[in-house]
Amino acid sequence: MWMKTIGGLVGVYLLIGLSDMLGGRGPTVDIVWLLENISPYAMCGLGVALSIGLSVVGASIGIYLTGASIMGAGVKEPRIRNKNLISIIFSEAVGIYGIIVSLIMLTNLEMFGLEAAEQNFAMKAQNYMSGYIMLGAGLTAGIANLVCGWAVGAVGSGAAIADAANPVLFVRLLVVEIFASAIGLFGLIVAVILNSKVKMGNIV
Amino acid sequence: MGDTFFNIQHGYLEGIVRGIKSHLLGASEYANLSQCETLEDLRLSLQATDYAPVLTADIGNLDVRELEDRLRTHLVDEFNEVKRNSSEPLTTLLNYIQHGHMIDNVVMLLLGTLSGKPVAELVAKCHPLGRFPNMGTIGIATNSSELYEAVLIDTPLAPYFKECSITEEKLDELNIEVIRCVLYKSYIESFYDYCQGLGDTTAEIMAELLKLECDRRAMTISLNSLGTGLSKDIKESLLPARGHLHPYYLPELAKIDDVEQLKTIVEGLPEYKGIFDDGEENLEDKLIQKEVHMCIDSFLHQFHYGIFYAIFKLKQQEVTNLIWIAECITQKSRHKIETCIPHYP
Amino acid sequence: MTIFYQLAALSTVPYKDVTGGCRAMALMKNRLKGAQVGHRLLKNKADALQVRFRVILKRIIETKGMMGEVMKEAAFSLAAAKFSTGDFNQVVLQNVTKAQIKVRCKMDNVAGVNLPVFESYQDGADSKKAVAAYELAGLARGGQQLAKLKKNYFNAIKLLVLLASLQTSFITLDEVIKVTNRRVNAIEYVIIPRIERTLSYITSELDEREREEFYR
Repeated sequence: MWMKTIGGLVGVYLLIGLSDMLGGRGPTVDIVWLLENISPYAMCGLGVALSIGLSVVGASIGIYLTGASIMGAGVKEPRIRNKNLISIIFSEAVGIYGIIVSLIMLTNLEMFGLEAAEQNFAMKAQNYMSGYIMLGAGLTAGIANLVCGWAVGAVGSGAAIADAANPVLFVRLLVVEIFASAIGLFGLIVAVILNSKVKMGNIV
Repeated sequence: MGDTFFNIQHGYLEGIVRGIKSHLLGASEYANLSQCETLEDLRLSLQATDYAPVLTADIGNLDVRELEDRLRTHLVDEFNEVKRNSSEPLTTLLNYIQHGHMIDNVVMLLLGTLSGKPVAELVAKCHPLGRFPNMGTIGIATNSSELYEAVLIDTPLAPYFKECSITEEKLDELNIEVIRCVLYKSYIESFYDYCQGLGDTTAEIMAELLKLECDRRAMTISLNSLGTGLSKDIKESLLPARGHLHPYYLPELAKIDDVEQLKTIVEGLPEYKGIFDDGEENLEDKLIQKEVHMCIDSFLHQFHYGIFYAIFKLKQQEVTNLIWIAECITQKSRHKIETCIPHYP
Repeated sequence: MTIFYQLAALSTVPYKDVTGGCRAMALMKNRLKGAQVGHRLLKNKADALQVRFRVILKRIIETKGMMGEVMKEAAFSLAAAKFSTGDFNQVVLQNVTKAQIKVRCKMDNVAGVNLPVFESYQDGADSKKAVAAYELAGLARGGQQLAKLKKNYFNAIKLLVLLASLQTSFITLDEVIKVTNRRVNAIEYVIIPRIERTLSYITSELDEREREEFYR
């Protein structure tokens, strides 16, 4: 369904481009022009938004997956509810990774003069690169955390149910959960390292 | 993907159902129960289980009937609790579970009204899982055509009646047991198709469980109809066409003349190898054993609707087991307890 | 016990209305003979009844022992059928219109006593539908167990009828034996002694008369 919609949109876009090109109106669909005219600020903003947004979605998936199961399993085995809060905390950590990345990105965001950039190509390149890096870092952290939250949630929900059935299993499943949680950490680390390359502002 | 959103609606219920499952009686409990000398002992042994609140000490004189009533009420309460909290598509699935019992009830009501018994009395004796709000209205009917209308309008079973084209005239002339089988066939086929429509793990698990149910019916019907006056065409129309035996073996099953032929056909399937090892008398016990195992196994997957079907199958079996134990105790044949009860882990 | 004393007292009283004489003596002798024959016959009857009574008693004890077993088995197979079929009570109840097994009553004659004998037989006159329902019960589930159940209860009912027949014979025979024994005893201890006393009275009266004649 999604793929069809996206494919359809791309197809329409290409068709318009082709008809313009062949109809003698020149290359109106110009990707280079498109990319050059997107401001690095937009990229930064998008990066921050993706990082925090996807992470929070991941965290919430994790929390409801786990939470629903803890509630249900806790009806017959009330002892599980305290122990299994740790799964909720793992999910919550995913959201915190996202917020760390977006905060780092926000501290790196600096103003730069557009006119100065037009004259100084190196400075322009640097600022554009920073923009893309932030988008990339945001995507890295965001997607990693989304998937991580999902994984932690699924494992956490299993852990809650397994704990209710047999208390011995809890510690073992906790290990699995820690590994799932590590996925988000990978994203965080890569995003942080990416962010260290960011250099924005008027200085070259 | 489907797994992710399962918990939004059904995570809570899944947790509850799994809780119920882990409190099912296990091998050690059954061993304890079969040591009981009297029903009072049985009651005390059950105090350590989920049934403690059901069998409180205020029952003056516990007999099998009372026990059965209480256990059944407990089961229905649990079912209703789950159903009240459920949302689609689980609600439909639970409705399907009820329809099975409803068929029994409606058939009984039909039979009773045709022979002129008061409906209120019959309604009281219906299986509580198969109750539906308009049950009383069936009894207002005075002749078979009114009865037919009443059944079509007031029961949720109308689609099954329609599908297997039971018409007014047929209601009069067909044997009630045959009508029940025809209805059940169309019910279980519709249930199977619905579960396949749900896709994912649910489809996979429910397919196996319902296939077993279909095959069980096919086998028992062809076995029990040996030596009765049922014609081959009617027989074939009674066998549910969704199981492992479908489509190649059903016409053959309808044609068999003795048990040996049935054995040859059924043993040919890998799923049912060795099912006749203890003779055909124990076929049903073996099938119950198999079903119990499959139901328990269905809990190995998470995020699917099959466990809701499985838990109520298991619960019903458990109630039946407990009543069996109680019967054995009251009839002083404790050594026979073990023979019927399936093995639990 | 008191009745026995009364009987004994009764037997000492001779027939008062008898006037002495050869005619009366002959009459009394005949009566004595008749009483003795009657006593013998009644004694024989009582013995015959007693023998039969013993046989029936023995059979009742046997049947009762068997009854316990068979009923237990039948009740147990009901439980087993319930286990595999679920609750089928109502369906069966709604299907039934007439009894399948019926009881016929015959008379057996033992030493002039009519004893009722019950016989069970299967009545095929039930409607076709009901027969089909009986055959097809448990078609989809538990047919095997139901077949066993049918067989067991059929046996149980046959035994029950037999037991009923034996019990009725037992009670009837008991009554008859009591009556016969009473008669035998009455003849033996009341009537015969009385006649004998009357006879001896008549004899003594005759002797008296003879002596009077002699002295005159």
